[in-house]
Amino acid sequence: MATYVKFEPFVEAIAEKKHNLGSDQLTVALTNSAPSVAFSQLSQLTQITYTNLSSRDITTVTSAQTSGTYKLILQDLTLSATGSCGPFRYVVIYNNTATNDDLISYYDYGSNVILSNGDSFVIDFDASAGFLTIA
Amino acid sequence: MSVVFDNATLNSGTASGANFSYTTGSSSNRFMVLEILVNNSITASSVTYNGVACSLVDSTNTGAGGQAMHLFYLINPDSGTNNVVVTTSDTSSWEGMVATYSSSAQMAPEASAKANTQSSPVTATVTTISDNAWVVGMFRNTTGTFSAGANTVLRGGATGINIADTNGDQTPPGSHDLNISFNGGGVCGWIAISLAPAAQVLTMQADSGAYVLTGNSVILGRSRRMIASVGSYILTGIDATFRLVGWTNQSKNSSSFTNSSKSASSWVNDHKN
Repeated sequence: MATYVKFEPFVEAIAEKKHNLGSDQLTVALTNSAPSVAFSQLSQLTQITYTNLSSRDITTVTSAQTSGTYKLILQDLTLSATGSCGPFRYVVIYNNTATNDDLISYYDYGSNVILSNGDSFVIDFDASAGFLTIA
Repeated sequence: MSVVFDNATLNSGTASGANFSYTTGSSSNRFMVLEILVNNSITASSVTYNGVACSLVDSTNTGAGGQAMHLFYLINPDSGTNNVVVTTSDTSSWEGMVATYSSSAQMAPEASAKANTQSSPVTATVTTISDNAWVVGMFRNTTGTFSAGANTVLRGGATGINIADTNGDQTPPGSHDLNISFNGGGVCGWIAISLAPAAQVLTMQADSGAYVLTGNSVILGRSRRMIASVGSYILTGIDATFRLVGWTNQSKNSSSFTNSSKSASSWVNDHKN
C-alpha cells in the first residue's frame, strides 16, 4: 500500500480556509521527482506531460463527520493512456479549485511507471478509512 | 507489459484433416501463430486448435515453383495440450509450425507484411503501431537452413521452414526488422506480423491520511467542586438628610442647651418657644 505523505503547509491552509474539501475539485498530478513535504502549491512540482492521459479529476464521494471525526471519501480514479505517458513515480493530490492549487498529500508508487497506449493506472482510495480524516 | 515467448514446435501431415498435438502455456493474454506450408496448387482451407477456428493473416509463396505459405493466428488459444487440425483442398502433404506467446494484446495482428523470391540475407520489415510490439514472422526457403541475424531469434523449425521473432520490445512504433540468412542458394518467402503487447493495468492502493486537532481540556471530577465566591461591591459616599423636625419642650429646655444658646437670637420664636 502506498503511504499517505502529508504536505506540511496543508494544515495551515485548511485552518485558513483555503480548502473546502466538501465542494472543491481535487485533482491528481504526476511527477517523477520526489516532492518536498514543505511544498505548498502545484507550481513547485515538475509535472509530466499529460497529452496522452485521461482526466485526472477525482470525484468526491462523501465529506462528513461522525462523532467528531471528519472523513473525506474519494472515488477510485483510473488514468487511461492513449499513447506513451511518463515516466512518473509520485502521485500528488491537490486542490484544483484553490487559488494556488494548494497541495494536500502525495504517494510514492515505489518505481517508475511508463504507460503505453491502452494501459491503465488505477488509484485505489480506501473507501472505508477514507482519503483523510480529521479528529 | 512485454510480449513473452511461450512455446513452438514443427509438425507435418500427410493428408487433409491430419492433426498434431501442441501444448500451450497457461500464462494470460495468449496468442498463437500457425505457419502452414502446402503445394502451390492447393490451399489450406481451415486450421483449428482444440476445435476453435484460426484466422488467416495472409498468404504468399516462396517464389516461382515454390510452396504456398499461409499464416494463421488464434487469439487466446486454450492452454494445455490440444490438437491442431489442418484441412487442405486435397490430400497432399503439408507442414505446419506453431508458436505461442503470452502478454499479447487480445486482438488481430496490428500490422503485417510479406514478400517472396528473396535472396539471402532477408530483411522482413513490419511497421509496428504500438509501443513495445514484437515482430513475428514465418519463413520458407527452397533449399537451405536458416540462421538468425540481428534483432532476431529462431524458434526451432527445420531446414527450409521456421518462425522467428524479435524476442524483445520494439519501440518506438515504426519500421522494425527480422533478419534471416540461409544457405544453399534458392529463394525465400516470408510473412511477418506485429504483435501488440497486452494493456497493463497498474493499481496503487492509496493509504488513508489522519490529522488530529489537539487543544487543552480541563475536566472536573465528581468529587471536586468549584466554589464561586460572592462578589461584593461597596459604594461609599455621604448621605445627609436633614429634616425639619419640631423641637419638643423637653428638648428645647434641655440642659444641653446653654442659656446663651437657648436665648440666642438665631432661634426664631416659633422654634425657641
